[in-house]
Amino acid sequence: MTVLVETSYLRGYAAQIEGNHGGALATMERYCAEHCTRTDGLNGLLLGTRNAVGIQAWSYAGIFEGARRELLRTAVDLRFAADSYDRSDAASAERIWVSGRAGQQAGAYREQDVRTVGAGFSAGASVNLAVPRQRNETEDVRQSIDDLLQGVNGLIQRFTGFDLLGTAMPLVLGDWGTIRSIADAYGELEGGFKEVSQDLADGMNVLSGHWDSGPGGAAAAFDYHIRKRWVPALDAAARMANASEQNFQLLAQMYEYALTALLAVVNFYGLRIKRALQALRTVTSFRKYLFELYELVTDLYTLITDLTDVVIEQTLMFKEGVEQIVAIGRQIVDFIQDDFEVFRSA
Amino acid sequence: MHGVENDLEEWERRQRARFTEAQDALARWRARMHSKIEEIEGREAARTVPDRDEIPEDAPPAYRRVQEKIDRGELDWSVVLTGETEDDDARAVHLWMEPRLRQVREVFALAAEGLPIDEAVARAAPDPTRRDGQR
Repeated sequence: MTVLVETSYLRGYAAQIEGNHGGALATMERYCAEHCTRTDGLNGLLLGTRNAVGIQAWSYAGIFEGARRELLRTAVDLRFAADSYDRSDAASAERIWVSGRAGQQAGAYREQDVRTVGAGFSAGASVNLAVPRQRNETEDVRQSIDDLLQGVNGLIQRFTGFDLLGTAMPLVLGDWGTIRSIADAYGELEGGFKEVSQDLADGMNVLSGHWDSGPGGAAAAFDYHIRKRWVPALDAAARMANASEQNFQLLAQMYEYALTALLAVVNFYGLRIKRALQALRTVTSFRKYLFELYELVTDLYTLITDLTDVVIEQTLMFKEGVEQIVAIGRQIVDFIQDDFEVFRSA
Repeated sequence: MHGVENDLEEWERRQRARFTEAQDALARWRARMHSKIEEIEGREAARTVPDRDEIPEDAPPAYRRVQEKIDRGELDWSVVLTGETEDDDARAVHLWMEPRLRQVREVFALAAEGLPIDEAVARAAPDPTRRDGQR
């Protein structure tokens, strides 16, 4: 078997991979730990989402940990191969990429030599993750609802038994701004994963023209390792981050819609109930008045509780969405690790 | 990674469908809210606005003074309702209103026990135009 190899290119790509391990992915890992785990504002009806927020972030922590560990191993083994070639120990260099990996390959995988490449190796993907805007979007709504009901709620409760403010409180305590910030963070991670994937593919293109060990050889195995394992795994992680972003965005959107509607309804009914209580001393048709007061109070109460039910259903949907994404994340980690488990046992 | 790709596609399809369902539930809620609001606004439009300065026939002399104090911002109407005030005029008006307040409480209490609202009103607030004493 003839091996054509420029080991400086193997080392160059190893350095690029290390750049992604210690740079891009490490940055993303820290970013996720800081911005995907926020729970401030997740109160009231959103209290139940705290656990899901934590589980979701933990799932990404697993991906980062697995990806960084195995990427580093890839770089170390690539350097080992370069050293072996330099010692004219091609057999060791070939073995480290070929043995135990054949089962992972799709038949006789052919290495993709890219003859025209733009630049040389990079220092790893350059990820610029924007810090999500810290929002407190519920505060205005909470304040308005408080203003509308605070003055009369005690009276309503005293004379009718209905605690409207207390009933609305679980809704208004939740802040969709936090959910939206987390969604933005996952959107940034999606971009980060894509950058790393593209960076690895670009580096592989640079390397491909400088390493050839024939069909079934180490160069083909390594090409497969990058193009058919790492790149798809990172692309899948990007899509997963996009799914997470969508899941958080949908919840934020629905919650904002619900709270805006709540404000409208409390505004309408709150003013009328206040007026009705004021009219108690002047009203002439008292029986008609009683019917109308009852209708106003129970209408508002029912609208608030019905809206609460809709939002509870929505948060359950969100949590199930998180569980499904976590299961997908587990598949990605398994995909990355299985590869290397097989490799290590060789 | 085809399995993961398929799962992600399936997740998106399912989650979007569920989101649409949730949106529909909110739209139904909103439609119900609008219909209630229109009903109330219709009733309000048909109603003649009573003269704010009109004093009920059976009101105590303190009534006018209380109204003036409220207008001047010296008194809040809510303390007249609760009676939690040191103002003698407000307390006098509160006492005059007490039967009505009791009836409001009674109507809501009876309705909370499951009595239909018309029956609750009939029981708690007898029709003053009827002379047979029937409540």
